[in-house]
Amino acid sequence: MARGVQNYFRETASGLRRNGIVAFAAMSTAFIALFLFGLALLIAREFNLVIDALTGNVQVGVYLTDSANADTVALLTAKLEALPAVGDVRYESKADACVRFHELFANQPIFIENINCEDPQSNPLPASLRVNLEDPSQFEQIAVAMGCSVDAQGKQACGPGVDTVQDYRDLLSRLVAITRVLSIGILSVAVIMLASAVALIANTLRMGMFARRKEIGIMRLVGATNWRIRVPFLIEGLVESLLGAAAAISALFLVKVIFIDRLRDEIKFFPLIKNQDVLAISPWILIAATVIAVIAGTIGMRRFLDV
Amino acid sequence: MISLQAVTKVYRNGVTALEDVSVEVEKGEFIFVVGQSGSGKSTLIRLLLKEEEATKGSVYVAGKNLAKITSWKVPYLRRNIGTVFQDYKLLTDKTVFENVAFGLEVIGKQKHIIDQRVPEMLEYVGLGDKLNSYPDELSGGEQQRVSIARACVNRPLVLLADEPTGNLDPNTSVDIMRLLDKVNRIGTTVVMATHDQAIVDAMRKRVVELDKGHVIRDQARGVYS
Repeated sequence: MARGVQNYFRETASGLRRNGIVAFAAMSTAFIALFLFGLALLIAREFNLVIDALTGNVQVGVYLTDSANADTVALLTAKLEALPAVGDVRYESKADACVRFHELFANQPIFIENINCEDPQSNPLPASLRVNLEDPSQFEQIAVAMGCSVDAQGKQACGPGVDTVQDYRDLLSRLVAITRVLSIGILSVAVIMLASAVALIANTLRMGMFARRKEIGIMRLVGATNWRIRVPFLIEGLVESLLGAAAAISALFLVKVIFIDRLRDEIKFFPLIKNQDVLAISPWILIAATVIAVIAGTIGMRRFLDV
Repeated sequence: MISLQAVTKVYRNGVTALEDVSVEVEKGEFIFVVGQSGSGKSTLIRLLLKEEEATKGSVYVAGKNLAKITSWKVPYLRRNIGTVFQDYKLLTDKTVFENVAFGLEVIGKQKHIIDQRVPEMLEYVGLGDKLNSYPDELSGGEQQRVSIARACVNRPLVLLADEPTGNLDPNTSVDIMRLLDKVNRIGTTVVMATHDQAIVDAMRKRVVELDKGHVIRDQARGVYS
């Protein structure tokens, strides 16, 4: 068995050597395709962070005064839940808000070092009720239920325990739309590049099979199974796309270090993606690379599948 | 061992290569298939390997109806059939040993079996001292011996030889025939397609003559024509 495996790899290695330039083209295309794919995933993650920081991923934030006690919170929650337009209500305490803030800005220590979640005195973040609406057009109901009214200067005054009611509907829907457009745009380019990668890898396999047609002919004659004949080529395709994936992951780390980490000093109020985010999307890139190789193998060897 | 029953082969371009051909070959027999170019000899060989399928009639090899063998089982059929061709089909970047070993490696034989059988087989065909030579360094006759060694190293039931002496001079051809006869004597059924008259006449084996796809003669201990 060990010898068998060794044979496969020897054949794969010689195939890659023989096909040097074409294999390189296939690998670089796979690299660009997977890089764009990863970029789209990272952008989606970045925007989710921004959305979370700006809106808490809800349509309405009812911010409470620091004096609001548990009874007030329960009363306000019940009031909100009674409204037909309200989908769900979630209470976020001062401490919870602080923890979320720390997570969002984990990589920007200047921003969080003076805020201690254990100590209510140093925690400026308000407790809030975070509300999603069944019917987003009915925002006014909430303001009314919370006893809020807007005075001549545009200043909001609300009932007991409530500081302000923030309408995030617009911001949230815009951010979601931008995220969608950006990721779909980049993903479409990525899909086109992925298709080219498939075509190029399929082509290297085909060229490899052509270069070794005599060997393949003999293998058939002596009764080698189709899999025995194909596996070295499949491994070759897999090696090419996985090398492309490795390059893409490294490049995404570089982008993160060179561009994002530099931004960190410039833009202080935006949460930014971390190394863990790049790590978290890496498995998807590897899976995409494997899918490329499998499709390329199927296409590239279709003509050689029959005995 | 081999049985063709009323076999007709029409290629997709409409050419009828074989028509209503019936031949029975017993285990351990040696037969010549003779005829001019285009008489259907090679088609017959290809049918036996299931490289082509009969349009009509049935083909049996080693007790199996080839029409009923699924494509993924074809390799296992071919492990029972050794093949030798006019152009040797050796890999020039491999040594004699490696060429013969290749045939065993790709069907998953273990290293210790390969290391034992390959030198044995090369000794048998008279190339015991050329294990590490490359095909380019050998004469035509020697290259054909390597190809016979590769065909026989897995101990096939049947050896199909398509014009094995086609590229060789008369003396070398006689040597190759002696070797094929030797392979036949250990029980291998040999089917040899040829138009080498001198060889057929010298061997006095069974002769099946094809003409335009028909069997026009099937004669024990026959001559070429």
